[in-house]
Formats: sequence, structure tokens, C-alpha cells
Amino acid sequence: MMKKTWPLLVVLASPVVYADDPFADPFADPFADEPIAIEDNIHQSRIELKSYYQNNNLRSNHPLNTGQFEFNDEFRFVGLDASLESQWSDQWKTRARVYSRYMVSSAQTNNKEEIDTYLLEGLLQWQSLDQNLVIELGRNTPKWSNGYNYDIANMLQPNRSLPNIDQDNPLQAKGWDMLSAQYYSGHWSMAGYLVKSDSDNPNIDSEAVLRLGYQNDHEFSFLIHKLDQGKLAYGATFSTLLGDETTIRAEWTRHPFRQTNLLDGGERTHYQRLVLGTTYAAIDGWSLTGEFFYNQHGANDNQWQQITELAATSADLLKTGQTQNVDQDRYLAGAGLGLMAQGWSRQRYGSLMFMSGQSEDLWQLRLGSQISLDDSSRLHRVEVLKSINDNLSTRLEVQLFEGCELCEFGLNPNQSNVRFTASWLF
Amino acid sequence: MKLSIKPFGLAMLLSFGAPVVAMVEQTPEPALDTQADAALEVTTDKTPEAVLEVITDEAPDVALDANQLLSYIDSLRGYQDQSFSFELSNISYKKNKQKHRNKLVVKVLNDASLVEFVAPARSKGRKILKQAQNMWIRFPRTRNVLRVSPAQRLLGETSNGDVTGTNFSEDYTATLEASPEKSETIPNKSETPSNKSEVISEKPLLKLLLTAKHDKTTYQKVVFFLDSENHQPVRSDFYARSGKLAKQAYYTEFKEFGGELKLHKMRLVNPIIEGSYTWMMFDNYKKQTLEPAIFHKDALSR
Repeated sequence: MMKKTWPLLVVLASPVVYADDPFADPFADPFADEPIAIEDNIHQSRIELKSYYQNNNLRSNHPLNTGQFEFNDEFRFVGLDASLESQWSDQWKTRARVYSRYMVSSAQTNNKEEIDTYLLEGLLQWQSLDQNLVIELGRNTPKWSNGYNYDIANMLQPNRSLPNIDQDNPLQAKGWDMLSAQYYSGHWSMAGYLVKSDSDNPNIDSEAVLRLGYQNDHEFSFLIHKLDQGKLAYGATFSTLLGDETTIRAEWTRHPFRQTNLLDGGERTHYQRLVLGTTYAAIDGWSLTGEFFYNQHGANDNQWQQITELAATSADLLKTGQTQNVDQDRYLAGAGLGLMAQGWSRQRYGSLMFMSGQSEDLWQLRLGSQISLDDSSRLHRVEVLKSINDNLSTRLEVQLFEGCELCEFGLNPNQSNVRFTASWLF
Repeated sequence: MKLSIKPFGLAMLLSFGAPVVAMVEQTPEPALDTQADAALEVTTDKTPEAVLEVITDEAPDVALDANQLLSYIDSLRGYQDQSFSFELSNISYKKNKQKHRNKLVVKVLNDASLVEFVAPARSKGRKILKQAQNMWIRFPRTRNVLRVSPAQRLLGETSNGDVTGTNFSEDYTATLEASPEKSETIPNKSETPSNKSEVISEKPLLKLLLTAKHDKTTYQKVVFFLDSENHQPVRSDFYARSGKLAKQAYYTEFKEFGGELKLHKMRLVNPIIEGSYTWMMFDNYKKQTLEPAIFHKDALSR
């Protein structure tokens, strides 16, 4: 037990500071004895020490596992995420974010330890005196999406938040090395990005994005994305208010190629994605968010059936020793697993998320479900959040993957998992 | 103090403090500073039911213009036709709960406001941009910028933002009502934590009734009680559309910043929830040339 939970001790052993007297005299000026001036400082930092323990309830007989894989049933993790932003003058600024982690992943017969350090962001920024023009050089993470579960308008490759946004994984916020320029004029903004690509495709060295944005009661943006040697891809976003309680948003992309590996791209000249979403926020604090996602990059029923059945058959042949062609069967079984790991593998998705208001004791509840509408498989997520004090926060997260054996979420190696996270913000 | 102040578009001033507070901590509410203003005194009263006395010795000056008074109230929260910044500290209390604090820096240009959280640590770096009814929030960890609805600033019990963030001149029609009669007593339901009561003022008070011009305001009616000599607000009552008293603000201290008088401290009380109030301190008002570019949603993450 001690071995499993030791990473949490780093955080839990930290001094807990509770707020003072909750029965204060309502008439006494609480500001009388304390300095409240906010210091001007050219350096702003944000340092977070985080630790989690995750236990996976694995599927006992995964149809695509040939026996050569061991899925992890535990993770223990400690990470330090440090950002420093320095405003050297009215025009010059630097920003850096470094992330170090120590993670132990455990399978039945094998433990794997990893210690890594990443530069998530590191850039030099210059801005004109009127701040209308901003030029940045270095590693940056521009975000253009206004979606929640399906951030399709973040068009740089690869999209790091696939397949599911993991809020404890800062690597999903790792930037790209780029030179960018942004110009603001009234309600409009224009931006250009020249990016060194880290796409898996060896033929792609660089990417470029042009973006035009408009902000008012209705907000929209239009994106043009060019991969080195490739054709143009397009994206657009829109959001607006519907009354005081409801926001509506939409995102669309159109690519000249299929973004899903292993699926034949021959049947179409372009592939589109569309996300429609809305959030209702109640006056007493809770909110409800719904999203629909249409994804032409994903597999249709025939393609999905073909791939998964081939993969399952190959895996079965390997497991039973009846294979005629080991390499081919391994490839097919691995391809099935790979498709699943890629995320957004099917064409139609829906999601619903409930978020409670934060209680006076700083508790909060989040409930979320995603459904792959093509096969009705589902991912359910329950999160209970508690801020112990200004610095220490905890979260208990349970995920449940449901669906038939060869359905998208049913193919996840985990039937369920539970993660307890504690983080200390300095 | 002259009353020749025109309405300025600053109302946003606080549209921040509060909304922000609400989103992050869902803080409670508000109000009263004993040392701050001579007009406001706190005494101990044996009576179990708290009472707030409004004492008027003379009739209001009928020559006073209600709209001018309203503009003056707005002027206490910012600078006319001039971009500026200020700092806001909030401490929220609920009965039997630990108190919550936060600190914000607010920048204001016309109808746009940019709020940045400085404390507590869990909220540090969060930014909220408000432009008219439109709001966007930026989370420092993910750099995501998301549109949020005005209702989201009301999370939890706190609707400080709506109380303090309204540009009264733009949203309300003002009427100077006949002054309350001498020694009129107004039940002060908010003072429940103890048997204290407060004498709101030894001086005569003016009663300014604000009625919403449109249905986009959170409150249908606001009643201001103003010091009849210097016209500074002493208390305001906010009534929901249902007619129910929703919030009370006690303006406890004003302070000069750059030669102009501004609201410095106030306490917001939620009369519906016993023992629920928030102290707010506005400080370090600065006239500043703020470029429109920083009030752009796309600039939030830079």
C-alpha cells in the first residue's frame, strides 16, 4: 500500500493552511490590518507539484490482445510543472514552461519507470507600443478551438489532446517551434504561424497557419492550414450567446487527406469535421454542456467491422497458435489496437457534461459521458474535486468504458479506472 | 463635491470583481466598515432583531437632479472617458464556513474589462474578459479561451458582480423619492450574526430609486440611500424581479485616488442567507492608457 501511494505523500505532507476565524465579526474591517497592495513584478511564476495514483480494472480477455502486450493496471506519478513569464520592458517579454515527471507504470509482470523533462513552451515575444502587433519566436501552444471534448479547430499536427483530454497530462499542452505574428484591429485579429512540424509523417517538415478572427456578440474565426508539400486544409469556429444563460458554438474543418491512419483515403477528395455545442449555465452555479461531433475521418460501419474483425481474428490465431503468417497477423492485431489508441475513430459522437457549482467548502462535482453514436459504446466519467485550501487541491476521478466487445469504447483495455490526484500550487 | 459629473462608461468596474469571484470561489457576499466613514457607526444593541435606522432631519433638496446623483454614484467607481485600472480584494464569509479571499487586477476601457486573478494560488493567472454582455475566460494551464455566459458569473451564492458591476446610468432610470421620515426604521435582515444593529447615518439621507430600463439587468429595482450632504452612497438595496430583496451593499469608505474620490471599501450582504457577506476593497485606482488590443479575446493567451 505504501509503495502504491508514496507519490501522494509528497503533496499530502505539505503544510495545510486553513483560513482563519470563520466566525469573524461582520462589522470589523478585515482589511484594516493587512497589506493588500499587489506588487508590481516583472516576473510571474506558476509552479504546480502534482501527484496521482491510478488503478485500472483491465478487461480479462481483450479481443485484440495476442498475449504479447501487457496492459498497465497501475500508474504512479509525480510531476512538476513550472511556468515563468517575464515582462522585460513594454515591448519585450519571455515565457517558458518546463515540465518534469516521474512515472511508474505497472503491468502484471513488469514495472516501467520513466523520468522525463520537457520544454512545453519557451518563447521570446515582441509587441509594438500600441500592442496591435505581436511577434513571437520559440515554442508556443496556440489554441484556436472553442470546443470542450472535440477541439477540432486546433489544427496543428498532431493534435495532442487526442484521444481524450487528460487534465493531468501537461504533455497535451506541449507547443510547436514556430515564428508567429498577430495583428489586432478593432474587432478583428489576424495571425500567421510558420511551424516546424513534428508530425509522424516523415514527408512533413513544416506547417503554416493563417487565421482571421472576429470578436463581438457573434465571434468567428477562419483558418487556413498548409502542411509542407500538402494541399490546404480549412477550419472555422463560431460562438455566440443565447440569452444570459446559454452559449452556442460550432467548429468545422475540411482536410484534403484522411487523418486516420490505417483507413483507406481513396474514397473522398476531402474529409470534414463538424462540432456543434452548447452550454447552459444556471444562476445557482451548475452548468450543462452538450456536444455533437461529426467526423468523416473516422471509420464507417463497414470499415470498422472489417478492421476490428480482421484484427480480432488475427489476434485469435496468434493466441491459439494457428497462425499461418505471424507477421501479418501481428500487424493486423496491432493495427486494430493502434486505431483505437488514436481516438475519434468513428464518425458520430455525442457528449454531455454536468458541472456543479463549487460549494462553500470548495467541493465540486463533474459528470461527463461520451457516446460513440455509431456503435453506442460509451465513456462515463465522474469527478469529485475538493480544494483543501488556497494551494492544495484534490480530485477523485472514475472512468467507465462500456460497449460491445468490438465497439470503440468497448475495446479500451480498461473496463474502468480510478485516479486520485493531489496538487499543490505554489 | 460638485455634482456636475456625467455618466461614464465605467460601470464595468466591478463587473469584475464579482463575477470573477463567483466563478472561482463562488464566494458569498458582503458589507460594512466600522472605522471607515463617520456616517456609518456600529453599535451594540440588545434587541434581538437588528434594526437599521434612517434619520432625516430635513427635507431633501428638491433641486437635486436624480440623474446627476446617479452619475455621481457611477463616478465613484471609475474615471469618465478614461481607461484605468484598479485592484480588488474580496473576503467572503458564510456562517460556520471558512472565509475565502481573492485578489484581482482589473483594467477597464469603455465597456470592456479585463480581470486577472492574482490570488489565491489556485486561481492565479486566470483571466476574464468582459465586453458588454460577452465574456471569455482563459485558463493558464491549458491556454484555452472559452466563451462563458453572463449567468456563469453568478456561480454559487455570489452575485457581487451584478450588484457592483452595473452601469447604473446606462441601465436604470433614477427618481429622487421623498425622504424617509425622521427616525424611520428599516429592518435590516442581514445583520444576523450577532445582536448588533447599525445606525446608518446621523445625517439626513436621500432616497434614490432606480428602475431598470430593460430586462437585461439582474435587478428590477435598486434603492440607494445617499448622504444628503456629500451625496455619497451609504447603502443600496437590490430587488430581484420577483420583488424580493436580494442584496444589500454598505458603502463604508471612500478614498481619493489621483485627486478624485472613489469607492474604497464596501460590504455586500446576502439577506437571504444568514451570515453571508463579502467585504470588498477597491484600491490603487490608476488612470492609464490602455490599448484596445489587450481587450481582445485572442490576446488573452499571449
